[in-house]
Amino acid sequence: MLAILNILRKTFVTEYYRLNTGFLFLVAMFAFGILRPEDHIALASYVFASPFLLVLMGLLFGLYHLKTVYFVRQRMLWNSHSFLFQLLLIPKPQRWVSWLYVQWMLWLPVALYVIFVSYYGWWTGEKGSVIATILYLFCVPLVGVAAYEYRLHRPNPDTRISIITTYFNRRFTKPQWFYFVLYLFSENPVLLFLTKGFTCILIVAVCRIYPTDRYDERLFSLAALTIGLVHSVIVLHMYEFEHLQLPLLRNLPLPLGKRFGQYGLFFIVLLLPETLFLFRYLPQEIEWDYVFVWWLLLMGILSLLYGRFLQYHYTMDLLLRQCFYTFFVGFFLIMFRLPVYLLAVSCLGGGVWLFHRYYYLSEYLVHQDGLKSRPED
Amino acid sequence: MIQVTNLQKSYGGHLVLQVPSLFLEKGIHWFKGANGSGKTTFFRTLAGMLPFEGEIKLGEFDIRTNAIEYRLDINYGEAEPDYPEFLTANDLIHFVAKAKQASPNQVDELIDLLGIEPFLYQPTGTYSSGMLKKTSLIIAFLGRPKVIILDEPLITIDDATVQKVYELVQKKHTEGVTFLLSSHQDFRFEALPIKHLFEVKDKKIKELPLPNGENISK
Repeated sequence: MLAILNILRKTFVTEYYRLNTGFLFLVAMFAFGILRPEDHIALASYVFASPFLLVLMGLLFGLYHLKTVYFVRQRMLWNSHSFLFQLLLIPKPQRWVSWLYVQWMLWLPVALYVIFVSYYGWWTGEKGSVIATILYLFCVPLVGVAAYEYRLHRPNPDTRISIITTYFNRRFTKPQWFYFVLYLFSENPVLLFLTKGFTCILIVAVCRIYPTDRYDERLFSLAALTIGLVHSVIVLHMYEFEHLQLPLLRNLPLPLGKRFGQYGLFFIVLLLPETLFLFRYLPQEIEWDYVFVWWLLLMGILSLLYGRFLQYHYTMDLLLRQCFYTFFVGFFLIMFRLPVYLLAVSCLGGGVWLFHRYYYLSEYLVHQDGLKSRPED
Repeated sequence: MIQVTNLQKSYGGHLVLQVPSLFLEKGIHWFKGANGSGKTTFFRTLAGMLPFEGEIKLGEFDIRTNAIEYRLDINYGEAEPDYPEFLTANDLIHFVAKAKQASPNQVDELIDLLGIEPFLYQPTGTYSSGMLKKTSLIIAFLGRPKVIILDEPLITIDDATVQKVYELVQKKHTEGVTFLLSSHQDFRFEALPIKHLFEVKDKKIKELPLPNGENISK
């Protein structure tokens, strides 16, 4: 039994944490670098008191769970991991315990955080919510066990195309701006849902916190900065996707303005969840012209990020570092009351200029570093 | 037709191709070279897909200052095409056809000629390498280009399709289209009226005599 656990730990657990160091570091930076411990406790008591937010938090943790399950299931499809299918030969109880061990090891960051906030939730009197959360914490890994068992018994996933997909493929041709949306849904759903889950919860949290104290619009500007930078991984994927899978784009006779318009359309679609959440939870005190500038700032940050990728070939490590520094620069600019419209126009203008200057000069250079696995991979 | 001057192409500071001067007149040109010799890099550079140092002109159009007109006149077919696996051949062909200003009739004719109708609406992720190659060949012929670059056009396709590609190249050639073809194997294009043979080797491109001695001097 110990030998099996050892193999599974080395194959999945160690690899997962090794490849996700950057991602976990980023989450830890946002969670513990920006929020103080008392903020976590205040947030916890707020979440435990609101069934809606509790469900939202459950969904967020569920997304993280999905990420871990997806990682293991994908690894099981690798030829180099085919030896794992011999697990079918060991008795069921032992196998289930082994999977449970793997899932709990991957689930550990969430489990520790939930136990930490539950402790404070218990003392604030929200015992029902705390019990529900703990039950959820223990039940969710069982879904992982079931998912691994399913893959173990069906090693070759069914890739037939559904009738609905065939109908849509015949009826419509997909527009260019939609290509990367499809890429995110089909190739990187975990990255998409984790990003969107985080940013939408951030918007709800900011909208709910705003009326509780003497905050001003800078709180929303900081949220926009965070949301924009959190999207950097998605924008990096877009840059890579185009260079590696659609190099023919640069052979097409399309004006730069038209090309930029396609990215603009994609960014609008990408930011749709945040826009809708903001409309839904916007405090009355915030004026609509500010909302427009806020949205423009987000568009500007995404354009600027893409322009920077065209200008310079980023690796994931470098990107995380640069985002970290950019956040602090933006943080101080906002806190020192630089007008948000100025920030938005600068970002958008910078993005357009970089795009115009570097679109045809951009090249996907595979350095040795670039070949290393990335956190979300 | 195509004038290349002081072309230098590097990857991450490492020089991979250097062409002081090269003029490609109208006709069919064959570029030979071993794997990794730089044929694809040269072709992609000519197609406007890679940045470089130097100058490239197609007729009066400069690759940088007349980016749209240049790209309307030059098409490129990948050696080993790899498309997003959720897109269908139909999506890709219609997208490129619109950009290259190809007529619906031309699209239908090419689809019919290369016989991709049975898998036209399936995602390319389900395609074999031959099906992907046929899709890339259709894309390379769309519109009214003056130059078509075909990188290893005959690999992974069956003999019947090879014959169709020969015929298509001959037909377009008689209409005045210039072709740049590559192959790392000998005697793949003997059925075509090759005007010049070039070898890509040691970061340079040099002209070779044609095997039958019919080289036409520039």
